[in-house]
Amino acid sequence: MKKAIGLGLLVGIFFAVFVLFQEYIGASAFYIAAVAMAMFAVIGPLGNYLKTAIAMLIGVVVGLAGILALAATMPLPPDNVMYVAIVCGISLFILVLLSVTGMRIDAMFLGWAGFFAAVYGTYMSDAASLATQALPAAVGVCVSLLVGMVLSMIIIKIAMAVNR
Amino acid sequence: MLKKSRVKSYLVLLVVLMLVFAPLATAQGPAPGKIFDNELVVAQLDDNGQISSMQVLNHVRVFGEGQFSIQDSSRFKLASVRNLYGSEKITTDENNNLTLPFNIKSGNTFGDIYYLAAIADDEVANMELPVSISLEYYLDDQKVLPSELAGKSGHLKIVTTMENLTGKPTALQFKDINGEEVSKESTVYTPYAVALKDWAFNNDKFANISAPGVAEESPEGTIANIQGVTTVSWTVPLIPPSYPAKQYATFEADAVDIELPSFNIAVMSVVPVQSAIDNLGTVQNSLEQLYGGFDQIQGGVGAPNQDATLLYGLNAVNGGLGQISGGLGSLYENLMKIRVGMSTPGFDAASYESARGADAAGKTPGVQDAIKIMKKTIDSQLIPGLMIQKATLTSMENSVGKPADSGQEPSSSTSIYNDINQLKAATAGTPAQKIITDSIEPKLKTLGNSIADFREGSNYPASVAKVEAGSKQLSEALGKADQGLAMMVFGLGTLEADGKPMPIMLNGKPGSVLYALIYLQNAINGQLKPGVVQLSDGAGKIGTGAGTAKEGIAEGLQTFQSIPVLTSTLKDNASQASNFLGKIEGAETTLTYVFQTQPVTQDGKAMKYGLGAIGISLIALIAAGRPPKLDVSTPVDA
Repeated sequence: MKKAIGLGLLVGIFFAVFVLFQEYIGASAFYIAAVAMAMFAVIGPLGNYLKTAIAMLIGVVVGLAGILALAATMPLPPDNVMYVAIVCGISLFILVLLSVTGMRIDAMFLGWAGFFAAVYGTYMSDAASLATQALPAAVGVCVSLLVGMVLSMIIIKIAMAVNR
Repeated sequence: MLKKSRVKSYLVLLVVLMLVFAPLATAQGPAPGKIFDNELVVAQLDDNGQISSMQVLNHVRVFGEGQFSIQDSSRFKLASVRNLYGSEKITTDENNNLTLPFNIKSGNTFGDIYYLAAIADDEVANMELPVSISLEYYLDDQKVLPSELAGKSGHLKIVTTMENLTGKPTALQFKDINGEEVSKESTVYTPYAVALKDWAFNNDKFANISAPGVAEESPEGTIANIQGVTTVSWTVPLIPPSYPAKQYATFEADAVDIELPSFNIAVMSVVPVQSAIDNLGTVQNSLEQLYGGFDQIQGGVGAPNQDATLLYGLNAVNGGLGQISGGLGSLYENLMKIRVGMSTPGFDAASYESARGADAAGKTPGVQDAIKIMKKTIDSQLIPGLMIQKATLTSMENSVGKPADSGQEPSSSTSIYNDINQLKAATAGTPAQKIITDSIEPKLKTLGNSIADFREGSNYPASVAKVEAGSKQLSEALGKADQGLAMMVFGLGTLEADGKPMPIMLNGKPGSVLYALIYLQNAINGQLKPGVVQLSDGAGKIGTGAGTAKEGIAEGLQTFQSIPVLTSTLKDNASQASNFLGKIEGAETTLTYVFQTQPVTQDGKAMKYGLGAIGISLIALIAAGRPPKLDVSTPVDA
């Protein structure tokens, strides 16, 4: 029980520090970091966290390309569900194709979804501002995901050390 | 096989016919109803306040039903055209003409196309907009670029300068207060209003926010503090002559860790309708009344040759006074002659010689002098002479004696009657006695009576006594006449040695007629006439002043009277300035410019830190995130 409390405190403090300083490190959608942390459950103690992180970044990049394509070349909201659907379908299709290279499909989806969660609201309300906000948002999501992934790795390492 | 070939032929024919008639069907389609073209010109300002890019968001709304191709155009070379909210293909040609396809389905009354046209950079560089916007940023009174503000603290001041550049000399024609057509050249602008709306400042970072104004230079901003955010707004009409063509808006605040959003500065052509109570009409009415008053003053003052005016009247008064003065002069001269005729100044009666008719100094006597001489002659010569005559006659009467005289020895002292009686007694009975009695005695008696009567007899009309009495009466009458003449002379005025009336004042008034005439003439010539001249000059100045005032008021009134024409011209200019990119034929257009400032953020720094965080995370993951290498070799059985 003591170990669990200690572990929980450690993770909680790390995450709180991350949330506290998220603006300074350009993080956006900090809650995505929590989802990334949860990935330790599927990656496991012997999983490749680096490869998962790269897959997440690929997902973010695909999401960024998709949202830029939506904002820059296609009809803007609100009457553009068809185009959103097309872009989403193509994006996921690409991710699935990329998964054959060995990248984790779940991580890529997480990266793509995290980026869309961060910018889709902006896209719907003020698509023009994405011209300046899309890239910072992508960086911010990447930060959240990678910090989450690092925390995930720390958690699993601590858990393994505690349980050994 | 043959059937298939025929069907194929029909299909080909159908396709060909469709291709041939399709354009005709489109061309003969229904005409659109009203068209609204709303242009929003978005100019992005760079760090130096220069326009770095320009886009036009064009909203075209067409009323009708069916398919339409609306032709739009662009005055500028376009870098790109994009249909923002629809999938209709907007085509452009080399002349920057745009074709907007509308397909308004049945049941809809209108269709919209929003397209974004990006203007080519080389066009932006040479762009001349009707209103210039420039921003200057100051931190602690030091001019800085907005990009240098991010994250800094201090007293922030932002000065936004706006200038309407559309002024052109224009001849305004209107009727003045006299109903005459007036053409007044004035610089007329296209009316623009600039809205710096809702510039938002986080209260955590900005304090002591103010937006001060300066009369006739800078409007004061309105500040609203709502839920932790202070918004500042300005509305700046750049509409001469009511407002300056160039104005500035000032924002000041104490700031920490500065971040600023992109501010929108909207510029639109508008003739604002004010809700303020308009007192100009009352002022104009008052000015017109004032003008009328001055016109009446000027008309009343008039000119010397203009009948029924003050100057004409004063001129007539002046002329009349001259005549009065002249008349007084003549009266004076004539009265002076009378006066001198009545009593010669300095006449010496003692030295008067009747033979010369003048005194020793050669002065002839006046009436009064003559009367005095006459009275003196009567008193000193005539009356004594008559008295002597009376005495002589008495002596003669005594020498004649009375009939009863007798008995005295005739001598030189006895009367004739005594001597006759003695002689008659001596000659009694003789013819001598008879002669004495019948001849001498009657004659002697007659002589005695005649002498008595001549002296003072009542039967003698010119007896000496009567002449003496008459002379005395004449002397008295002459004395009275002299007194009367003396009064007249005194009334006319005593003359001085030089012959001029002695200036005598009685109770503050002239004491003689002649002096009064001189006094009156001097008053007329010395005071009244110059006074009338001054009055005339003063009236002339009043008239000139009234005329000047009229001109000034008329000029001021022209400003009022030109307002409707000016307003109409402004509205015309505003309606003509409702299009920027290009005009769709028959469309009602509106136009708004929006200048967007460069945001001041710390995103760049955050990006750097974020990239650093990514790098560190990747390093961490490379170091510890890779799976341990498992030993998958199969032990070799011994």
